[in-house]
Amino acid sequence: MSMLTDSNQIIISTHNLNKKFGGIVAAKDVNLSVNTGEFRCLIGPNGAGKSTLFSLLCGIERADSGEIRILNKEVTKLKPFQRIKLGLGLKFQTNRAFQSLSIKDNLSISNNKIQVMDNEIAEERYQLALSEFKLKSEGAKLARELPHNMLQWLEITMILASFPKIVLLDEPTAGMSVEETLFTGSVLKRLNATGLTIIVVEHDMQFVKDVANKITVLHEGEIFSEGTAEEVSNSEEVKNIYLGRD
Amino acid sequence: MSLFDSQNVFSGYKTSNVLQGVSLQINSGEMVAIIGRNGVGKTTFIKTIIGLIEIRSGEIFFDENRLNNLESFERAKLGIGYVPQGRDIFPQLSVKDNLRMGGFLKTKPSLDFDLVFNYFPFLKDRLQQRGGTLSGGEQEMLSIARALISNPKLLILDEPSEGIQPNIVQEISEFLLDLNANHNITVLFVEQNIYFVKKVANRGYVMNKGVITNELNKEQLSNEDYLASQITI
Ligand SMILES: Nc1ncnc2c1ncn2[C@@H]1O[C@H](COP(=O)(O)OP(=O)(O)OP(=O)(O)O)[C@@H](O)[C@H]1O
Ligand SMILES: [Mg+2]
Repeated sequence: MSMLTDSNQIIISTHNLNKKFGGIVAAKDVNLSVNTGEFRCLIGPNGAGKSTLFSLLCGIERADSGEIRILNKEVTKLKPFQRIKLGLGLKFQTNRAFQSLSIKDNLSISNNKIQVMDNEIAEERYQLALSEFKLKSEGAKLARELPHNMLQWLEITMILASFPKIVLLDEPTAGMSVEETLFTGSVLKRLNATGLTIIVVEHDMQFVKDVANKITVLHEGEIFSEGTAEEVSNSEEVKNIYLGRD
Repeated sequence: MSLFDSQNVFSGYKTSNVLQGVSLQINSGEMVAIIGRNGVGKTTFIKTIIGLIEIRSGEIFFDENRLNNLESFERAKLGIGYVPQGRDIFPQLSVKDNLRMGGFLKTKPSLDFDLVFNYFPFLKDRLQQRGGTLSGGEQEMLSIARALISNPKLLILDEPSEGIQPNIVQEISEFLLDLNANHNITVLFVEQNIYFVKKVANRGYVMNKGVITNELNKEQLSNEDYLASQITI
């Protein structure tokens, strides 16, 4: 089955997902649905519940109610490692690379090739990131000595090393210059063009407009609005709660 | 004499010398930006000022004190507030205790909590929440609030707009201007967000490969294309 024939298939979705932390509503009746091969961006105010939604999708947090499906399989009760086995990869908002290990060692501990399917294309994606992000030539450098952009690139590549089908990236361009952000977007778009499904949380609207097929806006745990970059950035409500007017 | 004076400072990590002789001065009341590519030494310079990285040679003076042999907390007590890149709040402590940690280092009479809550009202409702469970942007705001509680003479911020939603980035830039105007706080910051640099700074330095390569006046700082060209040098 080729990637193209099932490109309209839903690869990951939630149904009426709810999560509260005490009195704070982090997810409220969230119905998110992302197709195979999509490049989706998730935006919304600080504290809206974007990272929480990623945690729920990966199983790091348990939903209070609702359902999550990955590749047509109900995963709501599965452990994180079981979801990773299905092909889910997450880059956290905070850096998680081992600070005292080199780039090379960080990559080799991530390279557990969990997926047996689609090996060739997954290997291609991994190699693409390795060379574009110049991680081979700098392999001996320790993570703790890397500037922010390199650390982000390392962590994105660490995710690809486990051969995922869906990649969740939480603020992958934080700490990058305008130029590095643009470059990161171009590499992610190339990865996406190979059929990889990518969901990104970002506050950098320039980046979001550049990469997204579709944007979901979260606000106070709820899906507030959904649409193209143009629709979302022209929405008066989205300007009010998030974008501002400067 | 200037409030802050860095004279030919060298510092770095085990395997590399990052700063190759950084000299710059800040006068009381200024809002100074340091811009430049990633990896040129901006954060290393900030950490060297704070005392997290040792000065190999050269000298740093703050408010007529020589900082070279002082511990981090001693430098903080002199009136240097620090907002690190990637926040670095205490994840196990409550929001309230994180703010108190800032208060321990007070120099001038500390700013009252109400002032800080005025800028970041959500903190008031979250005093008991563990810092580590705040969202990324909320942690950044806590980190700024914590630095402010000590009412520093010099507030140093390393990429304060990182992870902050667009309309709050605007608000933070406005409140820094307000702090500067109404609470006599001098500001030094590193930032990649051109909008923020343009709005906040009245003077700037460009850093490249561990040295200062250019100094920017207000007029140059208000020209976005010129700024962008300086950052990508
Ligand atoms: N374990 C927890 N206990 C209490 N509150 C929590 C916990 N985890 C998250 N929250 C709260 O839930 C809300 C949603 O947090 P989340 O990290 O999902 O936001 P976000 O949309 O990713 O924001 P940001 O853009 O700032 O990263 C926040 O107000 C946060 O403080
Ligand atoms: Mg988040």
